[in-house]
Amino acid sequence: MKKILIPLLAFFLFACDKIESPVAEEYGKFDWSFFPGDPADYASNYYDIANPQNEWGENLNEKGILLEDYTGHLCTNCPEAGLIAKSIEEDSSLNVIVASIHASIDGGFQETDALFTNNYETEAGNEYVRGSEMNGFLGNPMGTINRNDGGLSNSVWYLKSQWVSGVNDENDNDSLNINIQIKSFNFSQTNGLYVHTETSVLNDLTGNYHLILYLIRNDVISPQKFDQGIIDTNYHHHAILSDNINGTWGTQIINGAVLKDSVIYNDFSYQLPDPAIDLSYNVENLSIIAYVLNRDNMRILQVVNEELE
Amino acid sequence: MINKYYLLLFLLIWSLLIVKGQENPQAGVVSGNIQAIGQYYQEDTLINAALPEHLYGFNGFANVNYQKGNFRSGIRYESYLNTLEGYPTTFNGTGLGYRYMSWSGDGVGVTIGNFYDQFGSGMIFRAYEERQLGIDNALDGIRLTYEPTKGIYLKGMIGKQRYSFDDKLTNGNGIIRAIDGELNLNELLDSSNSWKLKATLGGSFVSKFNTDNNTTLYNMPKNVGATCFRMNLRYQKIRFSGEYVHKINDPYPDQDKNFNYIYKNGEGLLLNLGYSTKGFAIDFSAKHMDNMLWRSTNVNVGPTDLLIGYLPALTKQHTYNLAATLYPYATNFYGEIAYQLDVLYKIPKKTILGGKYGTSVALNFATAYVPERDFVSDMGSSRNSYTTSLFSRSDSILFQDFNLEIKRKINKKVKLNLNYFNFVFNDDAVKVAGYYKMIYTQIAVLDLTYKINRHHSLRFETQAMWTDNDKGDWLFGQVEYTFSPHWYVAVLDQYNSGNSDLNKRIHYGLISAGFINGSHRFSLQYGKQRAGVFCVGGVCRAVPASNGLTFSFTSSF
Repeated sequence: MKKILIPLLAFFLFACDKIESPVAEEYGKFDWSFFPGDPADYASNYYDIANPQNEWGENLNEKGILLEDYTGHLCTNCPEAGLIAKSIEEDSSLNVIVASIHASIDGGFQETDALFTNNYETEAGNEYVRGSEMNGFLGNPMGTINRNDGGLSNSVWYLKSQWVSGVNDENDNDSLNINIQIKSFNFSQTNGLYVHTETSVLNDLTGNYHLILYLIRNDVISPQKFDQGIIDTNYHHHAILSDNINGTWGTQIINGAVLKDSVIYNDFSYQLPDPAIDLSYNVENLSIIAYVLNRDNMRILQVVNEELE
Repeated sequence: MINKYYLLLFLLIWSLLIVKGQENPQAGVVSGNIQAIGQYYQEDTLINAALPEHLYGFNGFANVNYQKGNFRSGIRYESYLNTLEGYPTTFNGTGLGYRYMSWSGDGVGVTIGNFYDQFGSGMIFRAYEERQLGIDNALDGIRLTYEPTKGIYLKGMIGKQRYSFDDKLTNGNGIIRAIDGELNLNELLDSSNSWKLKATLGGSFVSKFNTDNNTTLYNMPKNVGATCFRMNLRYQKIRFSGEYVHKINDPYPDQDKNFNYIYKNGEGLLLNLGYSTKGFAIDFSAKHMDNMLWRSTNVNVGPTDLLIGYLPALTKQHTYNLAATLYPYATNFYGEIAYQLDVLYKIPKKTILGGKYGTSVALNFATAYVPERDFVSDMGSSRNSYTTSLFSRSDSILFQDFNLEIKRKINKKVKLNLNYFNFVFNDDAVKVAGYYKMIYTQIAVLDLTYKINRHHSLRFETQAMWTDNDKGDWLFGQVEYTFSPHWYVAVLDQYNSGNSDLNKRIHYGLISAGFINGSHRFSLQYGKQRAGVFCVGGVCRAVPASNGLTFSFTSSF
């Protein structure tokens, strides 16, 4: 009897695949609760994650330069740095994208009180100035230019007075080894945001490369301290880094050798803060900055941005 | 190539057996049957008749079986040259479509090759052939049966399903593994047959394996199992049967997003209670069916392709033309809650109502509803899509059929058959008529047979349908003259009298004649045939309009 029962039992036990997570891992890493409908509709109406190669046209983006302005609303020298950053950005020939990062080593210039109610610090911003990977930060205001090592003492950190020359130097180096395209879709019903990227490898590469996405508030009006104790309560903070969509160091997209003409697709889901609570998170005021970073030397290879709609 | 060698080996062995059988009748028995239907198509733009470029369609098959003692074997040769219009195009070409060998003895039975089988009502497993519909999902594999002792019947099988025919049999990729056990308690425990209660219990487990669907969006189950329990009880004039089937996650692509790749378990419950005595019978059936589409592949195929399970229809199978082919019931694969009541009563003869010979009255009421579904937003996670409860129905009706049949022999020469049908048909859900809205219709049928003498009889059949929906009213008339035992001739006409488009108030005239000689039957018919739907047991096939000459031949030996 055992000879019959054991195979029979095995047949019962192994002849079924009970699926606990129907949505495939690649597709399922999305939080579909942000999508108001069946995820299958997303493929037909927005973006087909399973067949991303059909979703993109030719990438015409030119080389971009990320100018990170490390600032603070209590930093009296920072408004001047902000003006410099903005003026560089407005020179379209340089193709500079500015991200204002409110961060300092000890939290100085970032404190809040009854007037300065907003804390613009982010976990990623603090890590960049405090961690060991980008040594040399002295204090606000300082900046990075594609995180190249042309700053003080061959660090990534530039004084504001060096930004113009630093950007020009970076602009002279027009080699582009990687290019990026972004698409994003947001849904007001859930404040859900889906971001898709196409990263094209233009030359053979070796190393450890990460794709990092910044959520940027383009313009936020709130107090800023100036010299002599002056406070501008209607100061326009420009391009505030509000969160890293995919973490402090982003998503590893290359680890080792990758051949020219390789294409890497990535998809991200994110829930935006409710604009009903904070108007500055209205989608018309938001944009995404995406850049590819060589984590072996911290150099940014390409940066692009996209305004949300 | 290996398959070809197997086929040649099979044919060689089989031919030797046949020859041996014919040389010596003691060596075995050869039997078989043939059916051939050919149609020559004519152009008829008025009815939008099918006009294939080959002009002539032909479907034919012949079964030849050989039996000696406990050994049986057989083949079926099939020809679709070219396939008749409306028939599934997956039937095409000419060649062997079925072959098997089987033997049995000492309680053990073995079948290799193709075979048909069914567990219980078929909800969990039914390999069958319905040639008129173009359904043939024969299993191709091995089946073992075992009867360890009287009253215990065990069955196990593994195989692939027939999918299509293109000069040869083509199986689907999926593999079906199935076991079934049945206990006849009376045979097992009541050797003296003294129990008034007759009881049979059964259980089945069927599993499929397929990797056809390579979607990267979802984690597809490669192995899907279904379990079934059933019982049949009979106590004198009362009988009861119940069957429950449960299937685990079995997602299919679907155009309706509420059913597209859903991972909800499927279930079905079929109950039947009946009472019968001389001259009276009543039968009540109830069915709860939810998400029980059950195929051996998880990709899109034709509606009747690769079905493992059969979803029984709780409706009467009508035979009168208008009732059978315009708004017939089709099983809803998503699910349904259905009920049916059948009452048969024979009014005794030599009474006022019953007349000299008695009168048979048959009343049938059947209805099917969409199950009550509470949809949940889980398509990004568990993808169950909705919840249901047993026999909880919504207000959305799928189908309702009330019909009454009265049969009476007036005198020695005249027999009368009166029928009334009342249909409610939700074509938005059933999508058979192409109207996609509710259809309410009534049909009356008068069927009168006049026996002229021992060999000659006339049959008059007239039908009328009334409806304000779809194509409106229809009329049907037929006269059939039979001069037995060999000949018959019939003329019929269908007329779409109520079509709102006056140009479509068309007569569909048809004349047919046939010759019958023993087991051989030859018939010819010529004329227009309207587009319609042909259904058997809730499974339907659309039949296009046609005009032309059709012949058919059937024979058995």
